[in-house]
Amino acid sequence: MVQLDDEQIDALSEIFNIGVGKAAAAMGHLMHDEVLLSVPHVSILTVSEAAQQLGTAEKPMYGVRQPFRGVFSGDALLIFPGHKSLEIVRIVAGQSVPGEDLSAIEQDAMTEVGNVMLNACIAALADLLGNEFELSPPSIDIGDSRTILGTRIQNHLVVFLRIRFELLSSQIEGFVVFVLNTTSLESLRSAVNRLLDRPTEMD
Amino acid sequence: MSPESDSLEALPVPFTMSIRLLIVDDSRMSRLILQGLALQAHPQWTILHASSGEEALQMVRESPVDLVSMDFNMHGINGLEAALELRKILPDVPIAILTANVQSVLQERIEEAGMVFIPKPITASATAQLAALVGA
Repeated sequence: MVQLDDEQIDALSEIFNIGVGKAAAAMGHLMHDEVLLSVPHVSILTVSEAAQQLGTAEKPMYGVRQPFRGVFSGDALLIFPGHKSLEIVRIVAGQSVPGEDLSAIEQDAMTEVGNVMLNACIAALADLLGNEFELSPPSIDIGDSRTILGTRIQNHLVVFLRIRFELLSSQIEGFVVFVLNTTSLESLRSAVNRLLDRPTEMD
Repeated sequence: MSPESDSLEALPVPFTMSIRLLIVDDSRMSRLILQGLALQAHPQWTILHASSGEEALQMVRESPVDLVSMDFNMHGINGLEAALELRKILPDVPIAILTANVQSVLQERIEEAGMVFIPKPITASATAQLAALVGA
């Protein structure tokens, strides 16, 4: 059974806290709003448990997925409630894009919001860990939490990092989630240990 | 190259001259935002769109442009690869890589290749940085 001790979880939370802090700054700029962030929550869960943590709301969610590969690999996800999507698009693109075009570019706009925010976060992680991450173009999924988490086997373990954010004026809230494959866990632990100045542990 | 074209190339681009800006981005919204901001500041500019590096290369082979804004993370060839190819076709055209991928390593690679790195989100100041490349 893969494990992280309290100190490693604390370090990991802080790394992602810094990353999402950068992402929030980028998002605040894009959305012309102040972004409030929760404390990061780190856990090792099955895919099914992770889906439950994202909620079981009946209304569909938008999930922008940014896959990354590097010292550890997985998916960064930006998750918004679906019914807020047009409002988000209006805020981001309203002044530059004619009104009649907004619904036509809705998914594209949501993807780009995720692109800016998740890339800012991944870049902060890369700088902090001294490693480059290779990124694929982002994609978007619309549906329930299982759809958003993608085609993963339900009883597989993942490292699940979740931060809730809220846009102050527009009262839009969502999640930034990192789902890391546990095959990356040893690399992740080594990276965290380097930051903690610990010798690399062996299982 | 003829003496005439040499002397023409030495001329600075006047403020009122129409610039042909090629925006290469797989996000339509990003292209529209950049187009809107560029035309707000420079209504005389002509804006061309390409949604991939491959499409951009095809376009500049058919008709030259004066300035290129290139996204990095796109399907097919990435923005830097496309920009390096594009520079073989139009060696004197300034190219900015305008990307959300703000990793320091990538920024260094872009600048080492002699291109300008502009981080997203797209703002009026990003557009001004782009315009400065053609002296506008």
